[in-house]
Amino acid sequence: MKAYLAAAFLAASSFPAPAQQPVMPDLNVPASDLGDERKFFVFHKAGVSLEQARADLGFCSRYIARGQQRFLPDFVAWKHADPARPVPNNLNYGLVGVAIMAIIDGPIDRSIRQARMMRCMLPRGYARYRTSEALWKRINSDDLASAIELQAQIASGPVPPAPRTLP
Amino acid sequence: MTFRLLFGLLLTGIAAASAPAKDTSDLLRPIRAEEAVTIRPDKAYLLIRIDLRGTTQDPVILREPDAAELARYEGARAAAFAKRGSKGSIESFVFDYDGPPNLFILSHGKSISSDKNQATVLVEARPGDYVLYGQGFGKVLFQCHCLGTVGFAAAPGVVTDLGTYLSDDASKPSVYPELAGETNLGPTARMDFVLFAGGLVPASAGQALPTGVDRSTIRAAQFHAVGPFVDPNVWHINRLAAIPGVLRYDGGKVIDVASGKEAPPR
Repeated sequence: MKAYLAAAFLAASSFPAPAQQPVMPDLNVPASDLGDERKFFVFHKAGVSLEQARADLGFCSRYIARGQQRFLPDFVAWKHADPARPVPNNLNYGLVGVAIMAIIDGPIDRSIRQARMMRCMLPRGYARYRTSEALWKRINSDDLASAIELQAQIASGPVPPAPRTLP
Repeated sequence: MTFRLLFGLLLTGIAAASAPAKDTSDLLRPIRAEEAVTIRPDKAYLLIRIDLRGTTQDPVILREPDAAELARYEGARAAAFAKRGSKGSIESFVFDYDGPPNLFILSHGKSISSDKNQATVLVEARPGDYVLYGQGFGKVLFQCHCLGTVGFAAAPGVVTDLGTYLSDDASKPSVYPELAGETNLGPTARMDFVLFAGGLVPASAGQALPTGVDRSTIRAAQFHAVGPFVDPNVWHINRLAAIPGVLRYDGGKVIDVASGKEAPPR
């Protein structure tokens, strides 16, 4: 996931087309398998073209890399973005700190990522529809180009057959 | 979730506490209540009120670096990259620059006056072009206004009045009507770390001033829209709420109202 997020920062503004077209998954998920609605969702916008959905998802994917937050005062070059600064992974608590961070780091990355995508995509007119954790992970694979292509196909396709998450 | 939140904040606190303190008072210095306000002709002064009825997050401002600052930064970065060896690209090189900073928090805890609802912050700063970059607390940049914000010029020898900064929890309805379009986003805006909405109400004529500030030195800030930019080194991203006559949004586009033009992404 970390490599994926770093790649997102570097590549998303001009990400390459996927080497092969991703296979559209079946979005029919039993209600009992739906994941936490705050985290596991796909975007959809009625009437949006595949090309526009690609552009919107590609643009917003520029924001999913999470780095260590800045401590102030700091210097920002402004004319170009800084890369994501690695997040500390042990807190100087030795193996205990490493173990705890290993548990919480992935979920934090995911929740930050989803909040950022939501904040970027909702103003563009997209709605969110619930899905399962397993399907979400498949859609948001480590192959960024494929992940964007798959999400764009979902976003511009039929309305997903799952409950909508509001707003 | 609570555990992750607390642990994450602990992480933030430890890292902040271990950050070396820099004396940056020549670049930005809060003027406190006990200090006589003297307007120097070579310094800019920024006045901002921070409304405390929503959250107590503070605004963070960026002064756009000039050519000399950028040249120093780029030179130092290139030298550090070369010293490290040529692994990877310089664009992905994480560089700890210890040169003069240009990103500052305007802390309500360092105000010139305050009451339970509002703190007024006056700082002496370097003249230049500034951007309302985001918001934070203590020494932490918590989130950026990366999806759209405003910029302004700070001229020397005058006090540039920025108006009133607002911040509130984006997951719930806000106490501020100005943030209605950016709040009540539901529980996704409250996973592990609260997403905040930010807004700015430009100064109005005759607005109260701190004791010791001469009204003849006040100039209302002239804002312009600033398009989306990327900073991964934050917790959250958001956009500054629309400001009538200054900043509006068309989908994901940031529109400068005065010119009617899009402020393009950086």
